[in-house]
Amino acid sequence: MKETLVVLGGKMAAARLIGRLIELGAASRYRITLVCPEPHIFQRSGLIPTAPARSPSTWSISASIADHFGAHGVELRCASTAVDLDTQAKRLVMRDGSSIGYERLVFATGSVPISGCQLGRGPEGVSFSLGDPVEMARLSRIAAPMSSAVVVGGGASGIEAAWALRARGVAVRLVEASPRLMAGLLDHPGAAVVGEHLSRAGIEVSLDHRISDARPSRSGGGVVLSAEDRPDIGADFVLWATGSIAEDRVARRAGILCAPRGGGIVVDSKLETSSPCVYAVGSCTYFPPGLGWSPMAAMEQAEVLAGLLSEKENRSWEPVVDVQLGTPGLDLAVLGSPVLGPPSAHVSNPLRGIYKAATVSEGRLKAAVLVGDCTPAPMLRLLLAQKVPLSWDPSCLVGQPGRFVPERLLWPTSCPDSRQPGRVRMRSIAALEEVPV
Amino acid sequence: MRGSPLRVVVVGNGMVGHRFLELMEEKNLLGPCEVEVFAKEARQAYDRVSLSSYFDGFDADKLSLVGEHGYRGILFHLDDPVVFIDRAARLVRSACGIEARYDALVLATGSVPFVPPIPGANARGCHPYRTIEDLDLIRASSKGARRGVVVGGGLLGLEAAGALLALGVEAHVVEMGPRLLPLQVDEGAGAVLRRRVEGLGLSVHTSAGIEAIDQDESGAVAAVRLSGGSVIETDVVIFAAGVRPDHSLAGSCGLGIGPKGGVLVGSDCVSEDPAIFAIGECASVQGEVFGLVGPGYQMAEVVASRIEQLAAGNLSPAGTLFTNADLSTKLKLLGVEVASFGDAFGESDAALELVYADHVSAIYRKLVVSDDGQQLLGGILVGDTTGYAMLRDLASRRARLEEDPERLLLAQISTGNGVGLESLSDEAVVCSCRNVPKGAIVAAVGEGGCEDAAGVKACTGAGSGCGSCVPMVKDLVGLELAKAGKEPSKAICEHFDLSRQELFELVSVRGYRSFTEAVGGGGRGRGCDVCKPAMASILASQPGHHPLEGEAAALQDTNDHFLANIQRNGTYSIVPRIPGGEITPDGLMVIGAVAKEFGLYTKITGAQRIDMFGARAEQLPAIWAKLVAAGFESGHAYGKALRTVKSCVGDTWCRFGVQDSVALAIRLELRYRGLRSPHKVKAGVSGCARECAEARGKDFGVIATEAGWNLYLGGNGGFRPRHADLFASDLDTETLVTYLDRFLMFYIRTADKLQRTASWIESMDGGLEHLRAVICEDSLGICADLDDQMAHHVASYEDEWKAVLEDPAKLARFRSFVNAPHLGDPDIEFVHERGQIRPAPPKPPRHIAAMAAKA
Repeated sequence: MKETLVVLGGKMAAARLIGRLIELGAASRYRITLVCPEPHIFQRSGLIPTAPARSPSTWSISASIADHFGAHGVELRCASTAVDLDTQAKRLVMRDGSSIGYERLVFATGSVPISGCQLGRGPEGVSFSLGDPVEMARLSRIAAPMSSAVVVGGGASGIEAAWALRARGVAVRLVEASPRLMAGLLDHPGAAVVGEHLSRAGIEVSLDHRISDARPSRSGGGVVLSAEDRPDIGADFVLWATGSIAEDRVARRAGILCAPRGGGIVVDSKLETSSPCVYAVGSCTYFPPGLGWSPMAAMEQAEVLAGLLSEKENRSWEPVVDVQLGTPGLDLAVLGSPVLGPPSAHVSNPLRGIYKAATVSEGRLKAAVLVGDCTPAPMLRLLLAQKVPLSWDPSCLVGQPGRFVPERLLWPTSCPDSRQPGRVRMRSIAALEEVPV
Repeated sequence: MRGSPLRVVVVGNGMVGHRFLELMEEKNLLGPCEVEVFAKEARQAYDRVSLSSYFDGFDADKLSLVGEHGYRGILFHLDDPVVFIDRAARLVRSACGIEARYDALVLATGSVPFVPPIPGANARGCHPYRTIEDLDLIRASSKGARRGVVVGGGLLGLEAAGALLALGVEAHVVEMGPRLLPLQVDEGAGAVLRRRVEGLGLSVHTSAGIEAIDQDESGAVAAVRLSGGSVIETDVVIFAAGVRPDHSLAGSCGLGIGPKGGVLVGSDCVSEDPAIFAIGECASVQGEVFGLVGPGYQMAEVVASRIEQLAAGNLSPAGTLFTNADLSTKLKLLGVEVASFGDAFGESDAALELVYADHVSAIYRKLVVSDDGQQLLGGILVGDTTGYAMLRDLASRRARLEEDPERLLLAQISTGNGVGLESLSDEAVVCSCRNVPKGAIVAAVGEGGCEDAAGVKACTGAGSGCGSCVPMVKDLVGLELAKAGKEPSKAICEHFDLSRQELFELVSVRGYRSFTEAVGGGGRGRGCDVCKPAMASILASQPGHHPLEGEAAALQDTNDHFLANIQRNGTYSIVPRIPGGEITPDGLMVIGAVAKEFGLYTKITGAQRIDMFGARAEQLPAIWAKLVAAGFESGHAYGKALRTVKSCVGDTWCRFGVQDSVALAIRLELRYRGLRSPHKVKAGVSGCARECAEARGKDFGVIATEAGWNLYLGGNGGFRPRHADLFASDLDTETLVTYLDRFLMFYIRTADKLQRTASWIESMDGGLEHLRAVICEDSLGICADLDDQMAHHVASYEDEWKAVLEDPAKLARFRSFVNAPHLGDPDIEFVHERGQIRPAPPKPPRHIAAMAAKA
């Protein structure tokens, strides 16, 4: 007799969870139903072309993921919104009045982007939120060379989005309210080097710039953004990358323990919520302050839960920083717990825009920041995951000097090297779609 | 030659004064000169730099710079300073009343320790740190002392602190500046240094001054009060807050004093009085004073040479001048290695700093480079001074860096994987995409018998995802094999146990002429997609080999199979050789006529020749027949071979050319045409430094100079552009050709498959240096061989296309369909653009219904 497993949500974490369940053969053990409000399942946003470096296996199924799931007996209920959860009766109540019974339920409802602008998101048609897959698909169709954009939010996601837009030849300005980029993850020297990379790629970076208002521009078709003590800036469109709050309303109403103010559903190391047989993965879960959600973390959660549900693996999950940006041509990774004071060891090479720093405490590696060269990342991840402390070895930051890097140029030529829009080629490991001029 | 001896009076017998006397003796001036020395201290010269070592045994004799017998031939007054100089009469008077006349007066009075004007600094137990007497007093004050404070955290201060520690006294260092050694090291290095010395038990107080020194009732020092308010109880205070030049004597006789103190002298070390010199710490050479002994020694040399000339009767001597002092230092302070050289603080314009700072291991290395990364300007090293001698030399010579400065920075710190991997537990997940733990990989090598990363990938899946763990997998494999006593294999594939280089040797030595012979003689099995092309390349490099001869044709990939480059629509291109980019009008007309007759698209290529596109496979022989008849040859645009040698116009026509670049380019291209190699070889010759042929972006590039040719090797364009490096300069043409012969042959013989010259040189042990040794100095003893092989190639060269046209068996290959030899490929379609043909755009793909439903 198959147990009913309902997965609420149709984005990355849900897709990975079900994909992994199938890989582990659990589709025969559960009757899986995927319920999501969107019209269909979404892959990673259409704008940013590279998947995270790890766990690429699902992406190869991309075009026919729905078929793949269908072939393994997964029922897809798209365009269905859940409004309530009855944990006693174990039923999920839908907006249209119907309900679905379950033995186990997984929240993978994701998060809702918020804009830093108090007056709402800005004018229709020219305002987009990173993280809303429908809007991202739309944006990826209209972002064309010679257009101009403002990306609001200089965190990891904002930088990725700005980079992806720049690669398409869009003139990009990145605006960040705090005095440095990736303020929650990088120290000043690291942020400065990242800023250099962005500038060299032709992305204008504006710090200490808090947007307070967004309105349509009077001269047709664009948007104007204003700030307290800065002149107005205009662009063809604005992309908000100012963070998101967890979509945890249904869980909250059902009495499941959630962090206040949209902070997310609280889960234990086995990804179970306060209500038995109800689990949660992805950006709808609670992450402690300073450890923001990252695609890596969501994937990790999905994989751990799949292992547990299929009873094939017995891993635990704990929040850890592992951010590796999907910016082909700009190597950038932040690992471990964010430590924003001076690092214990660092290497800096301004000739190649490299800054690599590690924080060691009680002899153990606690955190690492890599800008410009991510070759030490695999080794550093291993050291971070070690339960037994390893004594610090200075060569951890060095990476692979044996790799032949012959150019004497100051910056890798993979960056688009001029501000002129037009077809911009980027050398990258993952394939990148070229937008013809 | 003077009649009477020159009277030289030296005031001061410190290290520099002593050096001066040594030089006088070395130059045999003690005869022609009468030398008289007045010393303030009661001892003759001793090593003040190593003063701290006095605490190790308290043997003053060990520090003495003067031999057992003292100074010979010199009139010496100890403990008797000069107190008065009469410049008009040219005489000095000492404290004991001795008068001495002089022809040349050398002031080497050194410095006096700077004691800051702190209230209470005269308390008992407060001492400067300069003379052996000071040290004896410090020792006495330290008997029974619990704690001592050193004022000043510079070189001298740390020495003094070390002395206190040696005496068993708890030591504190108080430094006004923001860090220790503020003049030698920067903030980062200062932090690392602090960590190290604190680890030795020293307490460090920076950005702190001493406001007052408290005494007890007996007038002995009791405590020091710092500017921040804190109070340190102490029994001893040592002043090591710097030194000031001792110029009192000079001042009192009216000589000019420099802005930072010291007797003002020119770079010839002569003061405003032509008979008075100043050397060492008391001298202000054009306004600069130096607290290190090195510059002082240089000054002593300057003055000694002048005296030498004066003694020879030369009244207006000219000679060596004091040049910019090399302020580089390398020393061991409290057991910590510290080095600082060149523009250590990056004060030059457009200087960039590469930094490695490791506060855990307490290592700090900083290199200051020019912003193009080509020159080393200076650096600071603390805790690990590996490479100091070489780095300092590179900086002082402003040499062009041959190596990536990051390698110089991280000299001793090798790639970490080996060490870290050893100590990882077996559960550590090495490949996170496939979730493969270390234990599984180790097992794959051990029981599984895998001998390389590829094998491990096949067994465990590790590395088959994103690939970022592959270097770690490789290292693990190497580690495990090493433990088992095996070496990782360099074999190119499972069919041959040899590396490409070894295979090349085998084929040359045994004279194999086909793949079957080679695999029969030295390999096993039927071959694969790795060894067959590699073998094709090796065979092609053997003299007298045609790529379509017999079995060889089956080894070729499509391009070589048809001796043409396949294009995106299945047609081929034709590139006749145009050596050096030079072509006659008649030649142009032949190409034009051929292109018109066959309806081909023509374009001039980046390699300075003409390319014709749109030919079907079966048309190639006819096209080439016409070209060959007109005297053209294959341009090898399809092969892993020499492509072209580009040239600029050179001195035949160009106003700026200094050599005949066209003639040389043509000569080289004709010499090396047809040479097959591990990867394509591109070259260029420029007739002057303006470099219009872009020779520096080539595997070998030649740039003309007034005196000959500069040869550059190992460049390439493409995906990873790289500039060629200067190999040799001002060569005459014959030497250039010899070097190129050897370079190319050595490359062909020893490079890995599909390895460009740049990568080949880079991966060579010793890099370009090694290559120079092999080619110019014949360090491997193979130059005769290489020369021979090249001569053989030149002698046996034959145009491939001409050979095809003369051989019906080879001609028979040129058809689109094996079983319908007269049929052309019907799918080839052209459209017109800008007056020429071009492939028709690809038809849009047909949608399958299910796919169209996706968003």
